[in-house]
Amino acid sequence: MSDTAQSTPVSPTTGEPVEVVASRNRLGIYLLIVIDAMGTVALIISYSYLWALNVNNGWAPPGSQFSDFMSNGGPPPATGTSFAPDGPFWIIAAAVVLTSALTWWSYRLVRRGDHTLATTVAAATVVVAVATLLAQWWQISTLPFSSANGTYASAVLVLLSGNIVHLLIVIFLLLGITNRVRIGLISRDNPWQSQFVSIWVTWIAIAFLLGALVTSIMKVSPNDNPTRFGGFEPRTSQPVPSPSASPSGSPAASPSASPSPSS
Amino acid sequence: MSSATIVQEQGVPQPTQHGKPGGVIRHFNVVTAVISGLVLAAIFRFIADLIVPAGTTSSTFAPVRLEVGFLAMLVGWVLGFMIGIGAFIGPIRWLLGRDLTHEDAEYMAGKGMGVGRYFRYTTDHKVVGIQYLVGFLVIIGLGGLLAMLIRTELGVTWAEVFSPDFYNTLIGTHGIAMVIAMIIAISGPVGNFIVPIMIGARDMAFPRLNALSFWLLAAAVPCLVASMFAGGIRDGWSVYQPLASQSPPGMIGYQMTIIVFAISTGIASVNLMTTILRMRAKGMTWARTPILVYGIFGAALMGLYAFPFYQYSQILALTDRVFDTSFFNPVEGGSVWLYENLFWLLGHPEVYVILIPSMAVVLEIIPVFMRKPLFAFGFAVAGVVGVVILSGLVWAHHMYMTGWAPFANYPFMLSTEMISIPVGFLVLVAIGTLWRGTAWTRLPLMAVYAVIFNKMIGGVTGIYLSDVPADQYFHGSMFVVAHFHYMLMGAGLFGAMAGIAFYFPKMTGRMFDERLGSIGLWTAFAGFQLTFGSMFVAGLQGQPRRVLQFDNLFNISNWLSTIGAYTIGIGMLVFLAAIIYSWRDGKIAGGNPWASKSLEWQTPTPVPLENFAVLPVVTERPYSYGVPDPYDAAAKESTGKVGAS
Repeated sequence: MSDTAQSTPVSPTTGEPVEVVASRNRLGIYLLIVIDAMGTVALIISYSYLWALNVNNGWAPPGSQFSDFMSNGGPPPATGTSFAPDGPFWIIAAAVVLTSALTWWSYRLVRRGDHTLATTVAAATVVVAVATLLAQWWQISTLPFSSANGTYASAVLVLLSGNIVHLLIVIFLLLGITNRVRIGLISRDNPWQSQFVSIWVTWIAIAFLLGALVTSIMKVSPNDNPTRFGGFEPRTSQPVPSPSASPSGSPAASPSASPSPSS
Repeated sequence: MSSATIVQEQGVPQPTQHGKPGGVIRHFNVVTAVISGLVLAAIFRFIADLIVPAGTTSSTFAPVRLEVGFLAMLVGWVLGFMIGIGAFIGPIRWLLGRDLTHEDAEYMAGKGMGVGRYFRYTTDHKVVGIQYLVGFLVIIGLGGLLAMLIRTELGVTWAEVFSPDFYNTLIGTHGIAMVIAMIIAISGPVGNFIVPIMIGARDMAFPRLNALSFWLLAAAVPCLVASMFAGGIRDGWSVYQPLASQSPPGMIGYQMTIIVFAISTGIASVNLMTTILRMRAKGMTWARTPILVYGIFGAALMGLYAFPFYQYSQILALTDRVFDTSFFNPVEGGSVWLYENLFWLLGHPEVYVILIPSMAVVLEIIPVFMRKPLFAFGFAVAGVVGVVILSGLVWAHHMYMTGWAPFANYPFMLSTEMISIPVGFLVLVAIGTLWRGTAWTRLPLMAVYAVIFNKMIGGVTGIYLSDVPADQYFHGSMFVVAHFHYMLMGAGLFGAMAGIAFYFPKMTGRMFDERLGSIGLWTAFAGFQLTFGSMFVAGLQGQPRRVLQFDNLFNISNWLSTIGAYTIGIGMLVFLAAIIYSWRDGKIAGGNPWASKSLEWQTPTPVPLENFAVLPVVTERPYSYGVPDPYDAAAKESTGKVGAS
């Protein structure tokens, strides 16, 4: 029997090879992303569901020429004044994509053993993420509506609040990674935490892009004949047919009977 | 033969020990958690009152100050509790680069700490399992007490015991407390304590997340209790909109509970799934993995994809109440159907999150007490997989009568009826294993009989409810209540009782008092049949659910149900007494009192901190009792290895 010594770095806490611990942690990150993605899907479903239904004409915020579109029977221009402008959504999403790219770059540098540059890039990533957070805050504070201005406003605000939470988590993680790269806890022999955070930030970038896509594409509701609540007047100007309109007592039996308005 | 020696490289720096093992977390425990929670709750409430002026109302004229104040209090409580228990120390240490040393990790696992480890942020999976067991008993005790009060009201047909509002609060709080209790009933204690040992692991994949999942649950439950003092939850456990948005601030307690509980469940799911996928012992192929592991994995997977929908339904409902959004308010553009869809996307898989672990425990117990291999193991696995897949496609059968997408009713009817096929697999596997066996009739096996009986009644009556035409009559009636109690309590709770009776010796080191336990089990079983059998009759007669006063036509059924409910209560108290008595004074258990072949019974009792002195290697299937398995015979011949070592 001969012992073959292999140079396998071990985890400081559990004594297992770092690759083994990394394999578990990587799977854990993927599963956490599944949970977070399901939450994002729930929000996107909510957004698109309310957009499609336009219940009680309550989708669009005030000032979006909604009444014109009701009277003219055609959709209003997509540049309705009270919808949130598209630009900031995409700029912020691009900033998160940049953050993601920088985290991967930092990870690659760690794997290459370029410790100093890796620390610098990781620190730059934190700066970009903080700037993104500030931009996100600025976007929320300058929206042309408040949470009480209909379901579009509600959905956008909750979506953006979710972005804030995501960014806070990202900043915490990036701060940790920067510090750990700096003091050498993340190194060429044990670079995995940097990889996990990169995976997470990549997911966050995807979530931001999804949010930007949804809010850009789904603005004016396709439902120009929505269900009405809060009043009892018929939606069309045609009178409600009287049962006596037909000599036989059945409106359907008479070809001259007025069509029944939808309710 | 060569072996690999692990050599530590300089590239992975070892953390140095600062002070005593554990560091600052030595000062944190449940007392500091409660104090910190209460203090932060008071501070948050004070700040909220400063920010929101008195008399402020929302666009729907709701008093905002009370709502925001109550929300702030609950957020403060949860945050303070988690700070006080030490949940944030791990992340802060990670941020600062102060990694745990081996000594720190051992301290956090509760090494040499005695009973105190159960009251701390302890990471050992066995401690977390026991914490979940006690947590389950506390929550089910609360829910059971409320059930007694509900039945008291319904049984006293000649007078009104409680006000309608309080009665509704009892219904809502009982409902959600029991749902939470049943979700953790098996996945919590058995999933945490038993599964890692069963698969031959030293601990869960993420020990600190394991502790976090339990303590989040511990922080969430007081929010539910607090809701009863703020107007209560008056809209059933499903808290349908827009009724819920018009409820008193107690509803915020429900919403906070669910939001926090969903985080706890998500973390627990990630942990269980990673542990099962990555930490099974060498040789434990999927064919050699016990069915309980499949059951727990399936439940975790369903929780993983479905719970976020429930959580977001409550987050959006909370923003509607407090921040004036309008997701579920139709007048302002919201949709109650959106709520119902989000809610039931978890609401129905949740039934299987409860049921599958219960059935898996049943299938784990039967081979041990029949001394037979599990009949058609592949079908049992197919049953679990089928349920997991189909459970995500049946949610809208709860909405047949709501008017949402009538064209979808029949596809959902089909998917709901289809799910009875994989569930049927599980029952048939159980019966097939029991068939012509020689029963070693001990308490766990008796509980299995109870589960199978209840499960069949619950399953058959469920088919009526899945049928659109029949549901037009049955929906909203006591028939529905009886059906889901047969599933969640009859199969879920009795399954948990089977699990407790079976795993008690391993978890506590003492034998369960089977005489007292049997009295409790059969008393509860008899009461259960009386309560919910009568409820089926009341439902068939047309008694609506959630209604305080009803016609004299339903009196006899309700009297019988109430007598039955008290009988269940007595049975459960006796079972609880058996648990307490056995834990304190029960006969000392050996390592493997049931002569089981699975790994968890091959460790000594009490189980050592690291579970196994040497990690086991699995060489055969888990249920090779009595009848020689040709596969195993061939394997033995070729390898010369015998049994799980």
